[in-house]
Amino acid sequence: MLAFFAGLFVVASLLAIGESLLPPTRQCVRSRWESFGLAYLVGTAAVVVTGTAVLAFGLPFVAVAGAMLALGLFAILHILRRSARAELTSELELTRKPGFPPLLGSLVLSLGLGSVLATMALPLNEFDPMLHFAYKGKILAELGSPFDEAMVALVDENDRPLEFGRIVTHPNYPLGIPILEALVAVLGRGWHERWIQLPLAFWALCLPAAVFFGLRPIGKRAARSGALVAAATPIVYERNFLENGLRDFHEAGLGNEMTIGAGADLPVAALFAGACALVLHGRRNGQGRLQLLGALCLAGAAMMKNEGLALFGCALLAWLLAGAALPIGRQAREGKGTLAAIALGIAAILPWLRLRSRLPAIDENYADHFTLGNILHFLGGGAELVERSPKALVGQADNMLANPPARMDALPSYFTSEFTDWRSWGLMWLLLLVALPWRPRELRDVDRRWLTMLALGGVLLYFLILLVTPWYLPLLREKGIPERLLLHLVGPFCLLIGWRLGEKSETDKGPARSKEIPQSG
Amino acid sequence: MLSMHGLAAVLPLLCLVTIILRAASVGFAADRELYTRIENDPENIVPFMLQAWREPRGRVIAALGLGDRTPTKDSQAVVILRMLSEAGVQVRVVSDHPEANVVLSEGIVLMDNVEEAVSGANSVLLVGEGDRFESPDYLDFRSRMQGQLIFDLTARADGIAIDVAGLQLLPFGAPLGPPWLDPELLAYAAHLREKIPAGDGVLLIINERPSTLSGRARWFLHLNNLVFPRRLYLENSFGASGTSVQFRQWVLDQRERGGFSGRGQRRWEPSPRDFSQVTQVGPVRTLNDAERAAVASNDVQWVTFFTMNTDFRLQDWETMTAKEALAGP
Repeated sequence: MLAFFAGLFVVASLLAIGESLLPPTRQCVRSRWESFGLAYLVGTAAVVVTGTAVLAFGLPFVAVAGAMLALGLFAILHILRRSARAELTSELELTRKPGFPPLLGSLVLSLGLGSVLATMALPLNEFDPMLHFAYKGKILAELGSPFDEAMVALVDENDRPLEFGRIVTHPNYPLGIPILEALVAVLGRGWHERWIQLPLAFWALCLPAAVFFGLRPIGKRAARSGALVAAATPIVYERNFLENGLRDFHEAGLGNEMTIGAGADLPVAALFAGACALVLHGRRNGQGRLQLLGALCLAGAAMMKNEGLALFGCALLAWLLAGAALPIGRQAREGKGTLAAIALGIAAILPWLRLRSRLPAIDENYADHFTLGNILHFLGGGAELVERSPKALVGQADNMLANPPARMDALPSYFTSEFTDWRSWGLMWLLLLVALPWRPRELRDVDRRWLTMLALGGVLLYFLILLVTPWYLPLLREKGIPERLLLHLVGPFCLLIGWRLGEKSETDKGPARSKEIPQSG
Repeated sequence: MLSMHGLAAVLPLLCLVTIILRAASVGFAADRELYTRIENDPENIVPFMLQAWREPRGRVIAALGLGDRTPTKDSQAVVILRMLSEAGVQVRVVSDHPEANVVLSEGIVLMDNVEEAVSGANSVLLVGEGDRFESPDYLDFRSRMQGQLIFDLTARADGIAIDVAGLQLLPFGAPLGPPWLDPELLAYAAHLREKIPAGDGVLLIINERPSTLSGRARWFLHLNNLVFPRRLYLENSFGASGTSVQFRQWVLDQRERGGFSGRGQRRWEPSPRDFSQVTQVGPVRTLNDAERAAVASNDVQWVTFFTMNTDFRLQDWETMTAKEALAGP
């Protein structure tokens, strides 16, 4: 029971810390639903970024837990006092409401709450969450440091495998999820396989709320459309459900088809969506603080899974290339805000890069393979790495080894099959196609430009990563790649789609910017 | 188009509701019964069954049940029994299905009661039939049987009760559920948590050439997680903890270097055994120089010997103090 209350306290603290960092509702209008989603994402990002920094500088995990306890209590009290004082005018109360028709509102809420209940319905019950993340959570909670022998005693000081060493999978995976789990374990004075998941149960609930907030400055119709697209997209919860007919009812929630749960792909998607939404809202409304919080979420995504770092680079590139970070011209103020956000984001991930460099790497060095030579080799018809196929592993791949297929024969079809996979994506890809800014006039909008570059650049990034992957590609396909990677980009996709779907009413019935949102810095 | 996309929400809604209801049906616990059992083809099973004996001809096998559904000539159990019979194995069957007489091939003996069928048998084949044969008395089997092999097609046999009776379980049903829910693994992990103080070091020693490249055989990953914070050490843990490619290389290296025989070691067995009650098949061997050095250099208080197998069998695992392991037989 103590573990349950510890889980609740951690969730409440994440929310309170996030809400404290966000501008008050009077300055930045948002509904309670959006507040919940944003506060949770910002609070989580703040805690995992700070926690990683504390650990990187050699302090024990108990310092992270202590700081969390103090900051959490302080933030909860602060929020309680702030909400007691806050009296919003009835006009402001009205503009806060998302304005969903009851049926759609119930659908969005049911999906969000259903995802929380389904996550908590079973204790940890998947290989990756158990061994790649929760085991490291145990190390942090019990032994206090990622530099403990349990984590690093795979190799000697020269990075050569030890003759006899400790057992740990993917030792240099980011520590965001282990930190959240370990906080529950430390505060609950014990490891509980169900309740340590509590802080990991809210991603699918928060993602649509973040999208709604991001599109608020464009208009409520846009915001509702974007949020609805996000909430209704099946892959936010699970992949390929009913692909095997009724059998999938018997296996629901038991395989790696689940996106919700204690895995790392959904946290990356939710935090990345939060980052894009905060930066977009901040830039449209001239609120630099929101842009900084967006950068914090971006760094938070990098603390969840290795791909978060790649997305971080992709976002930086998109902002720079789209001219969003230019501190000159008509949008100099927004540009300065974006530049400051970039600087904060870089500062926030540096401790993790420092920590990571001191952890053993078994097989995760994608950067070593991501070279122009490798890309050109595989683009030009380079062969699949058949010797790493399951058949070759058990010595049954003579034919394949003799005539290895070209990687480019398979990879594009993996992507196109995702673009037509309605079971996982609904009509999202079609909507995205419509939503892309095809008219030059639309591309003149800086925000639309960087969002488009981020969405398309993200797809291209994952295509290139899979083109040079050192692993046997068909095996990755079996494990849900590339769809699990494409999920990370749901945020920018939904922002673009909502923007497009909201346009009609803005031109026919009203202004593109909501006049109800007051300007503030 | 937005409305059509909204319709896709039906899929996750259905999925989420199913997850919650199914979890509720097993008390919100991760349970093997949530997983669907997949039937293996008889052609893949029978050769491995026959390999269990040096000379299959003339051996006696008692099959308990013919499956839940009405048996036909093509039913999995019926085909397996026919193939065993054709290989010269004497097959006895206990079944309530009225069709049994019709579908079983000539030479297979249908018997009325379990005790009679098991008496003098070299092995028992668990097929199951409704809830009959659900909880057999394995201690009684042990006293009646001539051999000690239990073949299991159900994937639900109680491996712990079988081991307690001193019998050997050879599962041929597809594994029911993921490795971390294997009841024998969980029982052995609980045993180690009770026996070994938290924080002690345990050296894992593989006792002979690993026979499988299957990722499921990496029980040490789960044991390491389940007995944490006890410190587990393994030879070249870098390779053993890696992905399938590195694990494969680790297995090949282990095979090349050999187990106890390849390194001049010899097998022995403590009496009584630490946890398993099955004798003469234990994994214990004398330690080589590198292993002795590892005990000293890593502050190791315990040694766990194991045989790598895709199924976790209690008989394949043995734990003793480092002092006992260093002293040898």
